[in-house]
Amino acid sequence: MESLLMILGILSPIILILGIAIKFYKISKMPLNVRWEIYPLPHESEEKRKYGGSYMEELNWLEKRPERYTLGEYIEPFKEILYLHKVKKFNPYGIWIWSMALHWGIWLLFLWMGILIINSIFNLEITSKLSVLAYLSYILGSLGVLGLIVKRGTIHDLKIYTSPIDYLNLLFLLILFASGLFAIMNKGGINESITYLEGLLKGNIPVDELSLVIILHFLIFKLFLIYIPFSKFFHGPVKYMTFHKILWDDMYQIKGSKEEKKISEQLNYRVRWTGPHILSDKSWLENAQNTNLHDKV
Amino acid sequence: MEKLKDFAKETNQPIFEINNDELISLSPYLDEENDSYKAPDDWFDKYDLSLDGFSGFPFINPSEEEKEEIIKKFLNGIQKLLNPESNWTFYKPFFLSLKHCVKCNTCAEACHIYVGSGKKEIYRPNFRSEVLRRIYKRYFTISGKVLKSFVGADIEVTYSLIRRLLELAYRCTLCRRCALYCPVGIDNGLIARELRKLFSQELGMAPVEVYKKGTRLHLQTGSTTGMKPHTFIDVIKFIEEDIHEKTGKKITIPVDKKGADIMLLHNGGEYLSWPDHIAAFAILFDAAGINYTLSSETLGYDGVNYGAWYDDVELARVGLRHLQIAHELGVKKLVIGECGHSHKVYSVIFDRILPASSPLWNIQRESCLPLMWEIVRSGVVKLDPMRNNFPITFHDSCNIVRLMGIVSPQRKIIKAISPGTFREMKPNGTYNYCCGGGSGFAIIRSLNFPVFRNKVSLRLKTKQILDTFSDVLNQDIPKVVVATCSNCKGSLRDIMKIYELFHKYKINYSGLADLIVNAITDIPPFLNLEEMEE
Ligand code: SF4
Ligand code: SF4
Repeated sequence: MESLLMILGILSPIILILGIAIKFYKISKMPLNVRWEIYPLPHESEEKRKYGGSYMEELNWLEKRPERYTLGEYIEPFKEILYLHKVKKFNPYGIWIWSMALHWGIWLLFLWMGILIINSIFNLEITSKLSVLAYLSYILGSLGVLGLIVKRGTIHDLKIYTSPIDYLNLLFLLILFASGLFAIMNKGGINESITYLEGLLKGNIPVDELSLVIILHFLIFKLFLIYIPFSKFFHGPVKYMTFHKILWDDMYQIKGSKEEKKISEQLNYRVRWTGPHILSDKSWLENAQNTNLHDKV
Repeated sequence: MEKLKDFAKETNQPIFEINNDELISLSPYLDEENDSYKAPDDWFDKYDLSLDGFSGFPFINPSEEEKEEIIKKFLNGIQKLLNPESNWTFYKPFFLSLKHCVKCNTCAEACHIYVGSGKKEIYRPNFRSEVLRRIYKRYFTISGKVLKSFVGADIEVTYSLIRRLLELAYRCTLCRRCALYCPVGIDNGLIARELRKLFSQELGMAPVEVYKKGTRLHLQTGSTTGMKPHTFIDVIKFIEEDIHEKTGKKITIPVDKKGADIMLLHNGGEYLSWPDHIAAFAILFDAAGINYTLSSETLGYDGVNYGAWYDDVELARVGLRHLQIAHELGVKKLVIGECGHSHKVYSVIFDRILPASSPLWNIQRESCLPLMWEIVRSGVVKLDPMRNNFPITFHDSCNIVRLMGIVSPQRKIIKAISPGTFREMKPNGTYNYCCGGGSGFAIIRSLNFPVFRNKVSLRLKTKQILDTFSDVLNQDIPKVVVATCSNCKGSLRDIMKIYELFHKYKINYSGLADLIVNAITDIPPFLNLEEMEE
C-alpha cells in the first residue's frame, strides 16, 4: 500500500506534465492550418485592441511591420482563468457562480498542495496559518460541483448535452473536494496533511499514522493529476492551442520561414476526397491548378 | 427534443415546426400575422423536409442501395476530415473543436439564427457540433465503441440523420460569432463548414446555387452570374454611358491595363444587380487619380469565391486563378471591392494557400476600405457632408470585422462624409450580428429555403435595424443602412422588401462607395433614396 502511494505520488505529476507535453507536441505537429483568426486580438496595439482592429486596416500593411503588444496574449487568458469572464458575460444558464466556485476550488487546491510542499522542503511551519486556503478550496470546490450537477441534471438545455461520463467526472471532483474537507475537519487533519507530504518527499509515507480519509484524499488527488491530460479536464491546457495558435494567430507568412516550408510540403499532400469535381489521386496543388479542366464533371 | 439521438429518427416528418408566434418579435414596429408557413403536402413525399420543414436541396429521395452507399461515403468523409493530409487546411481547428467542447452552452445566444428562431434547439451553435461529435465518438474512438452512450457515443448513423445534417449544415451562416463567445475557443461555425465540406468533397452534395451555378459556373464561364468576358465589356460600356448621363463626366473605366498599380476585384453580382455601385467606384477612383484596372479575363471580373462557404478545393481553384490574372497584369496589388467573403479569402485565407516565395503570394492583397479612407482623408476629392444629411447606420460584414479586424476605416469615412447623422447598431463591430444571408444564404433559392431565410435568418437583423432607427422611424425622411458587402446588401434588399421597411419607414440601403460619391461636390447627388434598388 505504502509503496503504491509512493509510486503514484512520484508518477502522477510526471504523467501530468508528460501527458500535457506529449499532447501539445502532437498538436504542434499537426499541419499548419490556413489562417482562421477571430477579432479582437489581445496582442494588437492598445487602440486597435479596444475595438477589434487589425493591421489590415492600414494601407500597404505588408510594407509595415505590425505593432504588437505580445504581453496582451498572456494577460488575456487570466480573465478567463481567474474570472471565467465569458461564462459570466454570456452564459444564459446561471452556471457562472458554480463554475467559478469549482475552478477556484481547483486553483486553491493546487496552491494548498504547493504550500504543503514548500512547507515540507523548507520546514517553514506556515501551513497552519494558511490552512484557510484548504478550507476555502474544499468548500468552494464541493459547492461548485454540487451546483453544476444540479444545473446539468435539471436544466433541459444542459441535460441533453450531458453524458454519464460528464456526471462521473463531476462526481470524481466531488469526492476529491469532499474527502479533502473531511480530512482537514478531522482533528489534526492539517497536521496529517503535512505528515503525508513530508513522508512523500522523504520517500516514506507513514500510512499507520494517518487516517483513511487523508490517504484517500491524496490518492484521489494523484489520480486527478493523471486524469487531466486524458479527459475533459484537458480543456484548460488546450486553450493555449485554440486561442494562441488558432484564433489569435494573425501573423502573415514570411519568406524563408518554417511556416512557408510547411505550406510547400502540405501542397503536395494527396487530396484523397472523391467528390465529382476532385482528382483524388492528385495533390492539393495539382487540384488547385486544375481551374479549366472539368474532366470528372 | 428529448434526446440528441432523436435527431436520427427514421421519419420524413420534420422534427419540429416553426410557428410565427415563437419567433423573436418585431413588435411594436411591425404587425405580423400569426399564420405559420407550411410546405405543400406533396413535398413531404417528394423531397426531404425532415429537419424543420424546409429544404434547399431538391434531391429526389434515393433508393435503399443508394442510401447504404451514402452512409458509407459519409463515414469515409468523416475519416477524411480527420486525416491531416486530406484536411490539412482545417485539421487542427476542426479536431480541437471536435474534442474539447465542455458543453456549457455559453455560445448559445451568440447565434442570430438560434435567437431569431425563438431558441429552437437544433439551431443552437453547439447542436450540430454535438451530433457530429457523438458520431465521431461512436465510430472512430475506442472508448465510444466500447462504452457507447456512457461516453456520449449514442448516435447511430442512418440515412435520415445524414439528410438532416446536410440541411443543418445550411442553417448556420458561418458568421463565427459563437466562437467569440466560447471560453474554450471552440469554433462551431467551423464545424458547420467542415460538414458542408464533407458533403461536397465526398458526396458531391451542395446547394445547386453554390456548386453547379456557383463555383462550377464561375470556373467555366468566368462568373457565377454566367457573364462571359464579352458581356462584361458591354456592361462596362453601359456603365460608362450611364455615368456620363448622370454626372456629365466622360470616364473611361480602365480594363486590362497592364502595369497598373492596382487590380480592383468586384463581386461579379454587382455588375448586374447594382451597376451603380461599380459606377461609384469608377467615379471615385477617377476623381482621386488612382492608377487601377479591372480585368476582362475569364474570372478576372468576378471576385466571389463561393468555395469559402463549402469546399476547399473549389476555394483554392478560384482563388489561384484570380491571383494568376493579377500577376499576368503585372499589378502590385489586388484590391478587393465591397465583398465580405472575398475580403477574407484573399487577405486571410490565401495567406497560407501559397508559399510566401511564390510570385502570386507577393501580390499584395488588400481591402478597398483603407484606400477609400485615404481618398476621403486626403481631401483629394471635394466632398460635402450635407449631401448625406439623413440618418445613417452601418451594417458590418462578419467577414470584414470579426474575421479580419477591419472596423475603423469604414466608420471614419461615414463620419467624415455625413453631418453627424451616423448612428451605430447595437451590437456592432466585431460583435455584430450577421445580416442573415451569409455563406450562401442570400443566393440559395431552391425549394422553400428562402422562406426559412426570410422568416428566421434575416429576423434579428431586421429587428436591429428597426431598433436603431426607432426614434426617427415615423419621420418622412430617408434612412440608410450602409453595407460594404454584396451579400449583405442582398440580405438588406430582402429585408426591406419582405418586411416592407422601405414602404413603411423609408429605410433604404447603400454601398459605401455610393455614399461617398453622393457627397462629391462637382457632380449631382448620386443616390436616389426615394426609390429602392430592386
Ligand atoms: S462550443 Fe464552447 S461555449 Fe459552446 S458549449 Fe462548447 S465549450 Fe461551451
Ligand atoms: S457561426 Fe454564426 S450562424 Fe453559425 S452557429 Fe455560430 S453564431 Fe450561429
